[in-house]
Amino acid sequence: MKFRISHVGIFISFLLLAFSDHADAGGVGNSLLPKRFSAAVGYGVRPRDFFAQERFYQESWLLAGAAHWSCGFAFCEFIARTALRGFAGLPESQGQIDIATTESNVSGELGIESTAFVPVGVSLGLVRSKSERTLKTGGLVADQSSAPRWSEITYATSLRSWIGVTLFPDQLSLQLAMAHLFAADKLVDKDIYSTELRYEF
Amino acid sequence: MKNLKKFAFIILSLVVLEIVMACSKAAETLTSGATITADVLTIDSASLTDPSTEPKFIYGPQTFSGLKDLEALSGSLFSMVQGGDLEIKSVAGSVITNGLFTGGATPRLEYRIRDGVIKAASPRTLAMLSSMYQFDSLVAQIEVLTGEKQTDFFKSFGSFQVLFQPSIQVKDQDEVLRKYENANAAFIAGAKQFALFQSGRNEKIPMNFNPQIISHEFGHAIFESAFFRNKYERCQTDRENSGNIFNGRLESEFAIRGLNEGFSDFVSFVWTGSSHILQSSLGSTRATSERNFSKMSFDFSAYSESFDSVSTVCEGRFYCIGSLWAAALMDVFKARGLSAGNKEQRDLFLREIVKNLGSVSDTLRANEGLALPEPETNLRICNVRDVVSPLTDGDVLGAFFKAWIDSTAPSSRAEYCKAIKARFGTTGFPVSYQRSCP
Repeated sequence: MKFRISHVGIFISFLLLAFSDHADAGGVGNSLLPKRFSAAVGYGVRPRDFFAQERFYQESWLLAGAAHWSCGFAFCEFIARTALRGFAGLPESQGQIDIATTESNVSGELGIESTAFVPVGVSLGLVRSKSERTLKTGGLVADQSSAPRWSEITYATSLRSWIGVTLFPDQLSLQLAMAHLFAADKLVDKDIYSTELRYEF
Repeated sequence: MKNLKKFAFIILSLVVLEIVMACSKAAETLTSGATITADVLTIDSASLTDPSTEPKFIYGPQTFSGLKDLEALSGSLFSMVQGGDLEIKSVAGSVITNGLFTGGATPRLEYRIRDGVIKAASPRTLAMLSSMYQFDSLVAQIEVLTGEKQTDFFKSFGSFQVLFQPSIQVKDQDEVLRKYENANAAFIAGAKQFALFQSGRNEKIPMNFNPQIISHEFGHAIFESAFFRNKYERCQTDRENSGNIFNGRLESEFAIRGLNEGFSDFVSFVWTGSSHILQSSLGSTRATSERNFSKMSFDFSAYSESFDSVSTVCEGRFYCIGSLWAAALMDVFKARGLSAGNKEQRDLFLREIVKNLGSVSDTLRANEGLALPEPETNLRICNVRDVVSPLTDGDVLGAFFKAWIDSTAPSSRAEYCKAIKARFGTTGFPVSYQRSCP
């Protein structure tokens, strides 16, 4: 519930700021509308210490949509973005007893981007992560007095920065992004590195 | 428009506050000093109707009795160490007879707490919690198992470490190789440490937390305490090993190593109710069947005399002697009308065995090892034999069994003699050692 309220609040605030900024500059009422929109697909990895002696990179995919507003200066934009990220499963245990984990997250973020030379930006956001863990026993365990499947939802604030190259001006760009999650929870992996292809319209 | 900005600022401030509250919402934690309960995999002993079958396993909440620090997985008598390097210099079965451990770190647990119960979030953490639950329970029941008070047992034993998934260092000439052992658990003699290695791909219930395996390894600790008098000695080449008893003589004997394994298998049976020690982890193979001491199909004569490069009736080297010894103990257990499904009766019988072990050790060491046969020449220079020798091993076993019979109550001698004769025959229990049998 808090998440929904937060996102509605962020969205309203951002619209009000954008409107007021544009109005200060002598704009008209329809300046509430974004200057343009963009959609992105991405591939990401995050480092994980999974086994005692092994570190590996867990893959993820990403779908994102964003609205862009002028921030009042040339080559400067406010961006509001919502993204959905899904993670690949963790490596299986070598034995037949395993705990499988699936995880996905949604994020909302507000940021600013400069396109003076190459697209460079930074944003702050909130990430809601849902993971589900399932004990796999391969039929070896006769009785389960505890639920073998359980899920959890965790929240973290995030800071994301990106830099990119324009492939086709005002249409297509390729970006490298790094997001850091601020969470005290040690089960939350903190850094995600991504490559994103952004289409603007 | 300034009002709009103020309005936006207020909303944003509220949102930030809300986010901070959402993010700082404390995860469920344990209160300090509270008992620790975790979902672990353990055995459902009540499901066993026949000790020769493999047990069933259950997943559910179990309460630790001696675990005080969850994050460090430690109690006053034990602690777990994750990783580190284990240099193995010599090994006999699942007993590392000469090893050196360095490094290691506090375990990295991944878990959540739901309604006061710890739930592992990774298979590694499930293995850690499940294995520590077994050690915790074994420590809590040490008096029930051995007859010795917990404080007395650990006074001489000391606290112990459980090494979880250490890497193995192998020294090959000048090069130090590192590898990760799969599919086993071990007791490090002398150092009083337990090593739990990574799970192998073919393991069903991973050995590193299978209660049958952990209790077997703990059996080695009890054997070290009772028979080796808490002092596992290594044979030393830099001194003249004269006489019948010298440092490491008993520890190095092929037959004694077998008896150690058999005793530990019997401890596993007492702990779980099943004599099928390996089946639940390794499946149905010749090796797992050989260890199922409720269903032995050979005796010592057949084992030791059908020998080519390996025995054709039992391939498990000194483990075969161990299985015969465990089978003999089981015969006595059954002859007394005790029930394999009754934990109290199993415990009672084990206490008698542990007490006897101490007496046998005293007898064999008394008077410069007078009761023992002369050691082999090779053993005097610490060359440890790894194949059975019917005559030599028969003499060592005979001395052990004679001391065993002498240390039991007169009313029990007949049943022990009958069982040992049936399993070991006159090759493993020579007539000259049977004088105490009624």
